[in-house]
Amino acid sequence: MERLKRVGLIVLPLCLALLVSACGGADRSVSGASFAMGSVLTARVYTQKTEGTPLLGEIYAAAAALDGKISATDPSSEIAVLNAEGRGACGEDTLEILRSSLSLCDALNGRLDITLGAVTSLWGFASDTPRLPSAEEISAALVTKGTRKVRLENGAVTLGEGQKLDLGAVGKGAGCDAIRTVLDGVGVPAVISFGGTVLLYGQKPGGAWNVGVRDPFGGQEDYFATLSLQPETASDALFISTSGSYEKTFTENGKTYHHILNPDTGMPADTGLAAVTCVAENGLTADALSTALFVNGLNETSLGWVGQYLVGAVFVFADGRVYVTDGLRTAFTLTNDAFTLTDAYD
Amino acid sequence: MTERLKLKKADVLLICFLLAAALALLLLRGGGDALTAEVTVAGETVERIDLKAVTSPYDLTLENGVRLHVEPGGISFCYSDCRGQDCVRCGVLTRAGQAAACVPNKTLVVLTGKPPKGAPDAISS
Repeated sequence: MERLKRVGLIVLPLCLALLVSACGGADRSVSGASFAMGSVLTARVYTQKTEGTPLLGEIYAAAAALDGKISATDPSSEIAVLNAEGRGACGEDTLEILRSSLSLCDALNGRLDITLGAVTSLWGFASDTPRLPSAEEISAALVTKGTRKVRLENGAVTLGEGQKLDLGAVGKGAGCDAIRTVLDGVGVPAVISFGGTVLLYGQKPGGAWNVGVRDPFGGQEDYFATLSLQPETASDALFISTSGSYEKTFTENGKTYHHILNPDTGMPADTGLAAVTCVAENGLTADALSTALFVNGLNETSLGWVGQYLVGAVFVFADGRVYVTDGLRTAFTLTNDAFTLTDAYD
Repeated sequence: MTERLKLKKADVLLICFLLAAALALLLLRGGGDALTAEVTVAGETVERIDLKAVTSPYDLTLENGVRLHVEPGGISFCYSDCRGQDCVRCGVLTRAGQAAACVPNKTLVVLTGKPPKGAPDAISS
């Protein structure tokens, strides 16, 4: 009996520590996946299964509900009706997305333009049959764009003549914002990936969140760097969005075309960049800025926008050089030797 | 004056045994080894595959015609009649938390389990 007491005194704490570790301890989590906006939505929530499983359901429902309002392909969505008829009533969620997006389009000198729908539908990147439109078709469609032509009055939206909206550059970010509202209600740490736009909610048990930055020259699951991020408090969130020339491409007559269009020309943007990753405290902002920065290229104007709207950004050039803005330098780790860090731009 | 704790040889053996047992449990339960592929079609789970138990590769054809390639520790879309072929281009899923989908065929493959240590929580793409 004396021996057991002696041994127990030494071993028990050690065994308890090991057992807690073996059973998962504080980092118990529940994960799952669903579809929304034509993309995969994966979620991991750090809580007990009894609480986590219904929470995953609420997350999927929030994304699906927004999809039902702003989808371009669902003919009954508010945006689809608006595009088909030129006018329509919109709920407060859709109106708020339109207000925020139109405001950003203007503030970003038109480098992002959600009124470019007539041009993007010509290209058909979201369809199964993308094609290279003629110069005449593009010129005719470009005439319809313009944020000032969109009128928002008393819950009704009216578009300009022939104008169509395309929320592709902001939809998943807005979806992450809707999911954040769900998480605010429960205060559970979570990581969400919605078609590649990432939401980090609260503080991950046991350390910072680790987010891979997609390798623009590799496969869908390849990453060339990581960002170690932690929102300031348990109810704060960070959003990470990447725009790259590797998504939604097609090749015609030996030339490959990507889906991020320059709103001035209606042609795929070419500023020497392969991808831009943005980190922000708002999903729509992160999503919108990643597109605008890709279109604008890396220059003083872009860095000004980074300082104004973002925590930071990562610019990847087509030759493998990587520029990381000050706000992310300590969080950034290069994991692929084929890439090199640079301080040069322009 | 308190009596000093003295360990005998048998005490040391017992300590080693208990520690080894706890370590074994740690390796068996906490190593992040569980890796299950859950396959759903239109929201209904149609297959649940323990990828750690797979010893040799095989193809699995679903009722909607989508074909999955299952291999030790991994799974991928290898055939779909969709025009975009995004699902096939996703490549092999090997880490818990990864997912791939064939949207036109409403087919979703998601890997569940504890993510391996050091793996990213998500990839921004």
